[in-house]
Parts: sequence; C-alpha cells; structure tokens
Amino acid sequence: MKKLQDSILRQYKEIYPSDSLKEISKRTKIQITRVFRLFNGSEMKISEYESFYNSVSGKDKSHLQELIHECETNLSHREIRKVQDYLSYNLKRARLIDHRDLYSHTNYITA
Amino acid sequence: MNYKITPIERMVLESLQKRKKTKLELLKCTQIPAKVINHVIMELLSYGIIVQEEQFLSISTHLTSDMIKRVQCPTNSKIEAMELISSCIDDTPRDDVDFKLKKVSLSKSEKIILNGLLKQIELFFESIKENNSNPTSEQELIFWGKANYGKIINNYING
Repeated sequence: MKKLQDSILRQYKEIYPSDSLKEISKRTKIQITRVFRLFNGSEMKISEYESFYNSVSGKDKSHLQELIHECETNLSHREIRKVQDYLSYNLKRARLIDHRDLYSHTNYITA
Repeated sequence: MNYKITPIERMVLESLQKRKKTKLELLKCTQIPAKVINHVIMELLSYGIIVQEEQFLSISTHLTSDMIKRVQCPTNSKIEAMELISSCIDDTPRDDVDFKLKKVSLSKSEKIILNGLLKQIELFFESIKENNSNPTSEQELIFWGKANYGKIINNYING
C-alpha cells in the first residue's frame, strides 16, 4: 500500500503542482488535517486512495484515451506504429528510472 | 520485434564497449544514478546483451545475429537522436547546452562555402584520437547537418 500511496500522491502533485492543502482537501473531499498527515507519511485508507485516484484519472488519462482513439481512427498504419514506438520507449524509460527499488532483492550498487 | 534501447542503456553499452567494468566503475564512468543503473544492468543482463563474470560486466560476445539486428535497428538510432536532441532543446535555457537552428536562403557560392565548412567539421572529428580512459559522461554531444527545408516539410506531410 505504501508504494501505491507514494505513486498516487506523486501523480497528484505532478498534475496539480500548485494545489494548496485546502485545494487538495476540496478536490478529494478528504479533511484538510488528514491530507496533511497523508502527505507526511500516514497510511492511506482505500477510500482515500480512491479519492486521489479519481482526482488524477479524470484529468490526464481520459484525454490520453481520447487521443489514442483518434489516432486509431485517423492515422495511417505507419503513423500508428510511430506512436506505438514512442509510447513504448517512454514506458521503458519510466520503468528504468523508476524510483522504487524494483530489484531490491539483488545486492547491487547502494551508492 | 525490435529491442527498444533507450539512451540510458546505450550509454552503459558504450561505456562497456571501451572495456569491461565493475558496477562501481560503470557508475563513475556514466554518472547515471545508482538505482537507475541497477535497473539498466538487470534489463541488459536479462536479454543477454551484457554478461557478468565475477564482478565484471561486459558486452556479450555470444549475441546472435538476430539479437544484434534487433538492437541495431534503424528505429533505435532514430529514437536515440530524437531523444538526445529533444533533451538539448529543453524549454529552460541552460548554460551547458548550445543548440542553434537556422532557416536560411543561400546563393550557390554560399552553399559551396557551407559544404566546405561542414566537411571540415567531419574531417576534424575523424582526426580526433578516441580516448577510452575518459569517462563516457564527460563526452561532448555534437550534432550538425543540413537539409532542404521544403523536402523536410514534404517528408513531414507524408508521414
């Protein structure tokens, strides 16, 4: 849950970087003092995760899905391949630079 | 399917191409953050592109021709060029990056002069002796070239 919590809070801050605690509280309908505690390490409840998830998924993801649908309808096969390549590379890049320790069971560089 | 090689992986491979290295040497040579380089090493090991013998990492000498083709495919080179140049043309101005793009009409003699200057740049780079002892992270990224504006726009229109 900690990793999911960190991820959703990071996504929220990326999409709404200048939201104050009050604005976050308003958007997520979570009490302001609770929002403060969540951003300072308190464990998130599932309902709170859902509130954050709904706040982030509404804005960026539906736009992306709309774009993908338009691409599928309007672009040539070659152009669609270019878009697929671009998305694949970006996904791979995100996976490689993931701040989580995906390989924590291995004894690699700790510097 | 092509193996999608990111600029980070390519930098690691370029570093190992000079000589085999320990993980710490790779870290110092590339200056890639430790967690990221761990992920890259695992990715390249899992595809057999690099191998580990004792504490040393090196590029595999047993890559199949199919794997070599997948890694060296033109798409990978294109993506690398685009990603690196895109990183240079960032929104924010930076002291360590110098990127210029000009659209200009040239007379015949001016084109000859330009071609001569570009040829001099090429000869200059050909004359440079490769210094394998320098860290990969300290290499300079140089890009140059020219194209006909109209042809490029045509290519752009035709996808």
